[in-house]
Amino acid sequence: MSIQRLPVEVLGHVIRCVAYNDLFRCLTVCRLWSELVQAQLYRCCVSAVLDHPQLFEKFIRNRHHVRHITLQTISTFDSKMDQLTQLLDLSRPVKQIQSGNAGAAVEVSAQSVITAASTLSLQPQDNGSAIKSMLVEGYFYDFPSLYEFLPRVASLTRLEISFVKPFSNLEQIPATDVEHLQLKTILDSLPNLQHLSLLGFQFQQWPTSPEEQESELVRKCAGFDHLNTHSQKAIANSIATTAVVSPAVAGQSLGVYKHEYIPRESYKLKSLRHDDTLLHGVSIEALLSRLPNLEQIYVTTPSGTSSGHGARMDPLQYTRILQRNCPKIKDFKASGPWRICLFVPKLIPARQEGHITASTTKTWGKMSTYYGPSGVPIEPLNTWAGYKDLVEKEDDSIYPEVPALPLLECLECPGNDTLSSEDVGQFHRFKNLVEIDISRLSSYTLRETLPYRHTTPITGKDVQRILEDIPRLRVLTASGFVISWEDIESDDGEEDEISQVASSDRPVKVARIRRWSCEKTLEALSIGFRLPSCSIRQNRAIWEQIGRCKRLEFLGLYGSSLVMSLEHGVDAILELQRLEEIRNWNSLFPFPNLPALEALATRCRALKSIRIETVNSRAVRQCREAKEVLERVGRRELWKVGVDIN
Amino acid sequence: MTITLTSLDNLEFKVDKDVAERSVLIKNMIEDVGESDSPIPLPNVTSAVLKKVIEYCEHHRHDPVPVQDESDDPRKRSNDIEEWDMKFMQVDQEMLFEIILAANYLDIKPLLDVGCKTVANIIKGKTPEEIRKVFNIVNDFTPEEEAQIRKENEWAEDR
Repeated sequence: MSIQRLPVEVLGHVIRCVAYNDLFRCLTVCRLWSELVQAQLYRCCVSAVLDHPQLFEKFIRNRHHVRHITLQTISTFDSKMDQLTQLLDLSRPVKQIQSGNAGAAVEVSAQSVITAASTLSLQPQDNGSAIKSMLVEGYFYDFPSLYEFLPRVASLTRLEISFVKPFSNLEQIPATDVEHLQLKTILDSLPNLQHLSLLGFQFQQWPTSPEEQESELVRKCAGFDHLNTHSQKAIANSIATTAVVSPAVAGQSLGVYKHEYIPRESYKLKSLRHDDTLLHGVSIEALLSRLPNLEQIYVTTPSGTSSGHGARMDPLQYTRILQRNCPKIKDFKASGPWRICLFVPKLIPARQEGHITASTTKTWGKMSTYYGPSGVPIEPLNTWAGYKDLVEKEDDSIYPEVPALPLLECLECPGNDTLSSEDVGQFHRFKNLVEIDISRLSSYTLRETLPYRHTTPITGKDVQRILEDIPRLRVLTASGFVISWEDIESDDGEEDEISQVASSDRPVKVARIRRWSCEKTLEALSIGFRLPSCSIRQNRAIWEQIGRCKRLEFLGLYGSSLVMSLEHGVDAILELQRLEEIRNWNSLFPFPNLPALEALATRCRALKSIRIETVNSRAVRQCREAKEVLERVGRRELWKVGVDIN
Repeated sequence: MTITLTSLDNLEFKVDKDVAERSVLIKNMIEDVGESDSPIPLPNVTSAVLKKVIEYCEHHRHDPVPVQDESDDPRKRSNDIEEWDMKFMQVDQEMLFEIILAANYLDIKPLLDVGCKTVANIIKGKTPEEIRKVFNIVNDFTPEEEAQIRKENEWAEDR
């Protein structure tokens, strides 16, 4: 049977697997192949294409094949926006289907769409665009009005816009309406959207109905149903001054604690990335209550900046809102010094009784002060400050913690530094956690000084515990942390094991270590090891442990003295048939042992890259020798050297 | 729990439930029908091909389930086929396409990927004429059209 029996979409799949330099030759095989190959060639449009006028013209002609657009504008004077306009063909009128008149399509010019945008929620319609993803990053002083281009890209499943504000001395460039976004309009006009990332924008308030506002009020009071009527009224009054409803309404709603406003609309969105500007203008609850399908959330908080809008959203409140509204969250990422709350206290139980008086405060988002039975002021448990306060009193029995996002599979917070050793010790409570990134970006850390028990910083010992206690772990990135011998040695008092080692004729003694329960599933590991000496006994134990991780694909050993003993351990890792990349060996001594390097290059067939990052001159000399060895075995392409950032 | 699958030529194959569920089609069928002993008919798949497909599913029964991500749809590399899979795919062209068709029908994405990558590897390094010869494809271009297409896209040639 011939290849003609394959359906077109399967043939398209084959073409997608063809290597780039073979594609051109597939072009002229026959008409069908030509069409499929062209669909592949023009599928992705990147910034480099826009720099070449002739190439860009070809892309314009094949506009209908373009599915992914990636634009990065580096300079303020070269924003490529008019090219984007051409690519999206914004001058062509948009067909819009009027609701209530199904079947009749009305041609509407782009101009009237802009004016109607604020009142009309744009309906998705057929305009021939099939663009799936758009990643735009840069300076957008002349970005086409969002409301202008949204109808063109109703097919989008991924939208990422990162707005870099122009420098202050360029203030004469007029700001467009792009800065103040109405999130609701975006979500309404892109019904297929699954990934959304908007950085650097200001957001307008999410439009909420009176019922919704009332319900939000009730939620703020949640947990106080054990209080007496007098206290309830006091709370209602205080909250009413910070909300927009009258005390009467507030008082009424307090009587109905089960009342929960469930928004009618919900979006398919699976992944949201935002920075802290989102935490100010929009009611986060209003947004997240409409994203029940959210699986991935990524919060970026630029370090050291005060956004000038008052306090950032309380991290505990944020986590609670996530916990309440987005039950499917599997992936939590945070970059910047945003305090991550993975465990939230249960709400105040009925034991917290007594006469409570309330006073009002005017700060946005802050709850009133309440006084406990002994007259000591306590903060309610919806705020980070309140939580700190109660835990300081070390009354753990009253406030047990629960994992806020129980389905969590992936936690990434590189350079975050707000997680503590106690937090890490509780990771095993997440039953699905398989991917962790807690790497330190620099050895100098800027830590919030909290007068609070959870301030024990994470050490190598905690990282070793992760490896021991989380059995299905697939990825662990903990670069910047170092496991020392005391952390990993086994204290069960057993005799050393005996092992055959390639570097020695006689069997050697190998110390016992605490084994990693994730060795069967671990696929990527980035960590440092520091051992007191080059003794085979200790170093070999660790090499053997690494060798037991049969699925390992990526090994990053940062600042590790372990590397010095490579010749004694290399035969343990030669069995790693999936190992693809080794990165950043000890930057002082990249390759102490050339036969070991040769063995790795020849035996680990999946190995694609050995990457060193160093500027050390002695290292550079060793690099030359290493390259020669690799040349000899025909694996010169393995060696990659970069510049040490640290 | 065992599931019985019936091929086009009425041969029955008994497989474990978790092996059968590597096929999304079968998984959905099981969910719809519920717990039942009746065999699942697969009228589009012959027994020889079904045997191969089952062999693949059994070997990969413990692999993590691939996540469906429609938005990305990236280009695939064809040089990362596992050794076992490579040996598994050393079959004649006819069987290769049958396996691909079956993987497409049964919705077994990893097997479909491996099949397509194998075909991509056959294409590797060949001229258009050689490709046509290997796959028995008729050239329906006129020489002028062919030249036109090449000129239009010659920027892709020396990548």
